[in-house]
Amino acid sequence: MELKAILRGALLDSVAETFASILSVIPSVKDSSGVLDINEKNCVVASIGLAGTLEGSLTLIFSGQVACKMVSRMLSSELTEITQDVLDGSGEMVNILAGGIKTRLDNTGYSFELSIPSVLHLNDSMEIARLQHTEVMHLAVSAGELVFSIILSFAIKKDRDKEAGHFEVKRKQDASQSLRDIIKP
Amino acid sequence: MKILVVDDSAVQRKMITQIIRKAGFENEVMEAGDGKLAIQALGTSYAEIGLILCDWNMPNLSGIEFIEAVAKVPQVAAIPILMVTTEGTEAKIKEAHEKHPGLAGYITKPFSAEQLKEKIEPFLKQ
Repeated sequence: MELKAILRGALLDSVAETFASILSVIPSVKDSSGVLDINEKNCVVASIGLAGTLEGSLTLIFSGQVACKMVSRMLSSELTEITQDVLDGSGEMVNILAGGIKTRLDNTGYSFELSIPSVLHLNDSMEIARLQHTEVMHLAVSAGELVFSIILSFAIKKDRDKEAGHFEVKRKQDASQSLRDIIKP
Repeated sequence: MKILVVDDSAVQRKMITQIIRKAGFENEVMEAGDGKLAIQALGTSYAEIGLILCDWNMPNLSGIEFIEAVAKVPQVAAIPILMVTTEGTEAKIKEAHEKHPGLAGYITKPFSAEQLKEKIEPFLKQ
């Protein structure tokens, strides 16, 4: 089967399963023309990187209000403004969706690892809020009438299998030794 | 008996705690936001912890490294650990069981409240 068809199927299945399990709703999904339905300054952008035989990113874009409603459902509570929990929950959603795609690609010959999610909240005053574990670098670029923002969101993820062997071995030894040191009387 | 929930997502930790409460279990739930904090929590409270629910991908010390460390320490190696993670491929599940041969179970996200309850019930009813 063609990759695009495999990916589309995996994404649709992941969306259906995630919405049903976590939000207790059945989503309706349709192909989009590429024009976003969201047209407001208060929006949340949650993305996660994919790197492996397949590379790219998965991005969720929704209004601040929808982000609050979504995480309210996740936590069975009433959230009316963007808090760290709303950002965290948005990141967790994109993480779970991407994980669902990854699992469904198992044994297809396509695989990838996931980055840590990045979540940005762009509010009316265009201030940027971010996840607690991530740093954000924001550049304002202008060249005549060309004006735009560049945002680099990053975090150090220390559990890559391909990290330098010495550091990885030392860290693993430290973890069990740390545990022994705390436990011993 | 306490339950230790290890996940870098505060929302996920809250969701799991809510499911535990709604299932009728009154066990105290301890939380840790990464493997390193989990090592601290487990080290100081291991005598009271009867179940660990652990994510995989976390900063500072991953879940897979945490369970590997736990498996090597006799005082805590027998505490049941359930991996609760988006990592659902056969290779990852196999890796988890290799790092901790006594791994008690594996739950792939997303999960419903009922699915989680079914997995943890046997350990909480003992």
